[in-house]
Order: sequence, then C-alpha cells, then structure tokens
Amino acid sequence: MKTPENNDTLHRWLDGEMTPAERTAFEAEMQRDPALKEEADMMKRIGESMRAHVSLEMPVPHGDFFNSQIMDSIKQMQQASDRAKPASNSAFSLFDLLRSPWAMIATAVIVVGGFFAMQSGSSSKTQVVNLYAPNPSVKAQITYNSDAGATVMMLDGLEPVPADKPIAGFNVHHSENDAEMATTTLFDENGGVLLVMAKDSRNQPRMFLR
Amino acid sequence: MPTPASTANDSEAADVDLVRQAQSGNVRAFDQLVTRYRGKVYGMCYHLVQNEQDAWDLAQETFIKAWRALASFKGDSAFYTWIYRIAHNTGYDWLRKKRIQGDGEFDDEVHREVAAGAEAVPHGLLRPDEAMRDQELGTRIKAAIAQLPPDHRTAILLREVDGQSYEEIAKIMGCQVGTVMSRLFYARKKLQELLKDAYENA
Repeated sequence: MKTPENNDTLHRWLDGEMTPAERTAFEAEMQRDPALKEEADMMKRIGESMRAHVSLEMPVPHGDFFNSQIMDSIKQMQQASDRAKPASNSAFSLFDLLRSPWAMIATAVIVVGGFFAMQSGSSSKTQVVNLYAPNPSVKAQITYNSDAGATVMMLDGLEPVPADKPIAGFNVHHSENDAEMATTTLFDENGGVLLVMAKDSRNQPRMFLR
Repeated sequence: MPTPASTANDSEAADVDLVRQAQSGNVRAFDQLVTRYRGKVYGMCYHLVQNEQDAWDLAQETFIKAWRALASFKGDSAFYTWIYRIAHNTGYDWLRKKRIQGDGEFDDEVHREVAAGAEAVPHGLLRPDEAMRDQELGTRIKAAIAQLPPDHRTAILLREVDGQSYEEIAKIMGCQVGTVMSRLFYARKKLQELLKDAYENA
C-alpha cells in the first residue's frame, strides 16, 4: 500500500520523525498553505485527545488470580514435560498434583495422599503405580496384607516425632478433585471432610483441617 | 531525580535480569515480568478485541506463549516489544478465527461499552461545562477508535497513546515501516472524518 506523499510528510511531522531541516521546511510550507495547516492542527488535536482519553495500559481484573492461573499452567507444562522424559515415570494424578506446588507439605501429607489413592475404589483391586516422597532420605514401601485386608505403607527414614507432640490418625476413605477451584478434598468413611488442600493467590499451598 | 530516559533504561535493565532468570527456569522471575506487563498486554488485547473477558483470556495466553518461547528471546529487542508482538499475534489470530466462524468481528457498526480502565484519567480541574464537553469528546473518540479496523487501531494506539516509534510498531505488528505509516495514515483520515464535527463545534 502506498501513502500519498503529501500526507506522508504531514504524518512524519506529527510523529516527530523528521530531521530538523525537514521540519523547518514543512512548517514554512504550512504557513503558506492554510488548508494544510488546518489539517495538521486538527490531527494534532485528535492525537492530544486520544492521549487524554484513552489508555493503552489497563488494570487487569483480579490481577492476582490472573498471575496464579498463568503460574498454574506453567507448572502443569513443567510436570507434563517431566513425565514425558522417562517412560516409566508415570504416576497418580494426585502425586503429580503434590509434586511441585506441594513440595512444602510434610511427608505425612504425601502418605495420607498415597493411602487415600489406594482406598478409592477399594471394592476392586487397587494397584499402586508409583510413590513419591519429597524427602529423598525417606524410603516408602507398600504391601497388601490379605489377613488384614488392608494395604500397608512402610516409611523408613522419617525423623522421630517428639514425645510431646500429639499425633492424630485419620482414615482417608476417598478424595475428590475440583479442577475449577484447584482443590483436593479428603473424606472419611462417613463422607465427612478431613482435609482440603488448595493454593492461595500467590500459588502457595494452603490446608484446611476439619 | 532520575530522568525519564534513565528510568526507561533502568526498567529495561531490570527486564533483562528478570528474563535471564526466567530463562534459567525461575518461575518467580517470570511472575514478576507478568505483573510488570500484564496491564499493557491486557490493554492491548482489549483494544484489539474490544471485549474484557476475551482480552483477559488472550492476555493469559500471551504470557503462556511467552514462557514457552522464552528460550528463543535473544534480547535483540526490548522485552516489552517482544511481548507486545506475541499479544498482537495472539489477538489477531483470535480475530481471524472469529471472522472465519462468522461471529461478526470487524463489524464497524458494533458499539460496545468501554471497559473500566480503558479511559485515561483526565488531568487538571475543568469547569462543569468544560468537563461535560470533555467527557463527550472522550466518548466520541473511543467510539471512533472502535470503528477502525483492528490493525489500524493497534497502529494508532501504539503511536499516539504509547508513543512507540515506527520501527517499534513495525516489529510489534510484524510488518514493514511503510505499512505502519500507511496504517497510521488511514487511521488518522478515518478519525478525522468521524470526529470532524466535534472539533469544528469545539
């Protein structure tokens, strides 16, 4: 597309893209040509009005949520990429969920997660595909005890719990993931909520206990 | 007191540092870049598609694409030029698909409400009658800009509102400088035609 030469000069003047010599010559031409000056003045005023009334930068609605969604997508991409590397590295989706954003959650939570994974659909045979412990010094083993009719998880390498710390045990019956709210909820055998795991607007893990 | 030029240089230097960290996998550094440029990217998408919800989604898509392509960013241009270009391409692809689907995009007769924040804050105190005239003029200007074809709209906003040079606009829009000048020419002519009476009566 070609721009008419006369207007090309006018636009370069408006945009400050002229050399000093070109500018002087053009301004002299405007003095001789009132119609050109009138057009230039009007275009200049339109530009000024645009700057006064229109902004290219706009506040993003729910800015924190905007960022956290992007960070979530990036983490999912990274997890997908990690999974794609070794073929044998497939894992439960819960463990994937726990892997990176939940790295700060204690091993105990991972244990709970693993246990619930086995319990869900417990009426049929459950197969544990993989285990993940964020602390590499902790060794996890799982066996099925047919006498007890239960799956037993053994964890070696955990630090001893101080005697003065109260310990509570939970029987996790099943879990539900809510993709929209980005939460995982653990339930007991009566359908009561034991634990809700979520992320805050800064993508940090948050847990809500019953 | 820092000069505008030194502030711009400092800002670019900070961008370079954040980009370098992000390229080495630091997600937090990229998060800072998102915070720094989300307003501009969202604004650009909004002016392109004229719709808050789609602009929000497209701005997110822009940053996700940027993350994926971060390794290819060599720093030949400023980070904002690069991210603007991704935003422009993302928005333009979306418009193209929408046009193919026949959703009425590029319809010059469509007038939409202006999103909160799309308006610049008026400076100075005006008398009530002046304020009303000024507000009317602002409404007319925004309506006129919305009637421009998307590529003309982007070019004129980048030039007049964002103050980008022809070369920068050409890089962002992925076209020649001559094409930028041509788009500016037609955008200004159209605005002149649409706003003539407003200025003649002023």
